[in-house]
Amino acid sequence: MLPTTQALVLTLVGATLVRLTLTEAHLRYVNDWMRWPLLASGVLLVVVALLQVLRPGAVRTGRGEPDEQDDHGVSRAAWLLLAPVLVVFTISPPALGAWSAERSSNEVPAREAEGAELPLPPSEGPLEIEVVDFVVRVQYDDARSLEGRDVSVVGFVSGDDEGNWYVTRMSMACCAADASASRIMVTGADAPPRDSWVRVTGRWDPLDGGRPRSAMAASAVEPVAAPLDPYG
Amino acid sequence: MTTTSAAPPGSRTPRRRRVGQTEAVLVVVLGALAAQSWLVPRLTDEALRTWSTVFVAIVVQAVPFLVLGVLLAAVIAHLVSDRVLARVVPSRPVLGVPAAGLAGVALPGCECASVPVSASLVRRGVAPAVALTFMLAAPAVNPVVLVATAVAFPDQPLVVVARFLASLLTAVVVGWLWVWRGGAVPMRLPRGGGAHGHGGSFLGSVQHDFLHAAGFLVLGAGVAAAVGTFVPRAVLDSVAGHVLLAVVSMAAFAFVVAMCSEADAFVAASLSAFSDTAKLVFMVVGPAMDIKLASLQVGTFGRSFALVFVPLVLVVATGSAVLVGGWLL
Repeated sequence: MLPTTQALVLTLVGATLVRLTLTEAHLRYVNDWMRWPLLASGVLLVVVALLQVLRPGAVRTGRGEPDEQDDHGVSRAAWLLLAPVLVVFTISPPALGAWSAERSSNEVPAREAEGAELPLPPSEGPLEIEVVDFVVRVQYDDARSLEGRDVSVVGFVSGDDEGNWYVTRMSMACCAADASASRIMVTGADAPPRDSWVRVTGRWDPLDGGRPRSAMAASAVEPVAAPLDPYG
Repeated sequence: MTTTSAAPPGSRTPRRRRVGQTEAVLVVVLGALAAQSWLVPRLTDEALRTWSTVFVAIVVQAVPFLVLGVLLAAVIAHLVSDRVLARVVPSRPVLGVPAAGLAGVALPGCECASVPVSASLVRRGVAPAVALTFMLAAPAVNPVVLVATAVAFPDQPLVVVARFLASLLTAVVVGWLWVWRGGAVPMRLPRGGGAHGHGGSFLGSVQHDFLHAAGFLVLGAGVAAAVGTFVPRAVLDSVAGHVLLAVVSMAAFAFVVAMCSEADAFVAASLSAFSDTAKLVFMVVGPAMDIKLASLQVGTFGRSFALVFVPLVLVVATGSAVLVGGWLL
């Protein structure tokens, strides 16, 4: 890789990181606190590349010696750095959606389990709670606090092989690679388009008398805009 | 998939003609940018999109840590004097190994950061066994990881203790094995970085080390994303009941999913079908060795080094976790 190409690749990677943070698109992949490390390292990569190119003689040694070491000390693997850049620009990967939610188990991470036994605060009208909170209360509290309460949750729509649909949220600890899904089956309403965002209002629906299940008898389903942080 | 299809347009150019390589790369990227509004709505295959989300997520999460590691490595290579280095690092590797293991406690670093740092230490003349012990310990036993583990396993403080001990044991045992036999393993540090080559400038080694390591990181991230996307979790759960199979598959899972060490405890906690010892195996193997680290190490220390080091660490880490898990959990 020629020195000028090295600088270009470095600039592209840095610029991609900066762009992701400025457009808030980094929230599709990592936690919000990664914003500043990403911005800082992106800017740093661009600055390093510029300083290396502006260094006296940098371009001359690159162009004039075709027989020099093939890779200028940088392995061919460095070319692979163009892959994430091109993927971001061509596919523009969205946040994880129904496809991954349908493939993950509905096991709620233990970190979310704290407070499952606390009573829900009183409210006038339906109480807004998180999808994961609902699932945790069913899983760890046998849903006692949910009994008889009107609640509303926001999430995207996913399905299963049996034709049921779910209001769904993904959550992550570190990045999208470790994301897990929380899903509430919705009964009593037709399925909105897959992957669309909805607010579902209704009550816990224990379904069959056996083990409590995360399910909701819906009284209202309305489309909403996707939140800025889809994992939040 | 996209990894392989994205590289060739650029990588073929230099073999045909050297002049215009930079321009060719620029044209390809600008072309992709220009075609973006046309391409994005067309590349809608859900599996491809999920893979690319996870792929980009791993790369984006790791790059800032890699930049930090490369900066630290350049500081070690250029700014730390020989006298300071000699005073900090014990001269006898046998004692230096446990010291390096404990030094990992104080330096919260991602595993991606510790690879260039330890390579830089070796270039400066630190015994490889000591540098490698530090490389294995730093991502596994630091406070950030231990706190994350405590949060993921509430009411099970012994899991945190077991993780700390098993990871430290792994790093120290590998280090001592390296003191004993490591001399026979060729370690090929790339020229160019560090104090010689590329004019020996600080920024020169930052650029060189980053490009070199990040390429291998991307390769590992691509494979890990494919495994995470296409291998259903149910396949894993089906072996949970069998003691030996569970341990082996946890080690293999940790290797291929290449999760960052701050996050793996949460994933381990969610694998409820498995025994605590099997979960410990996952948490001890992951930070010590995974596919993106193996790829990074091929790039940093050479292929023949990695062929010995990678399996050795996998075996020692699994063994330590089983021993400590059997004792404590």
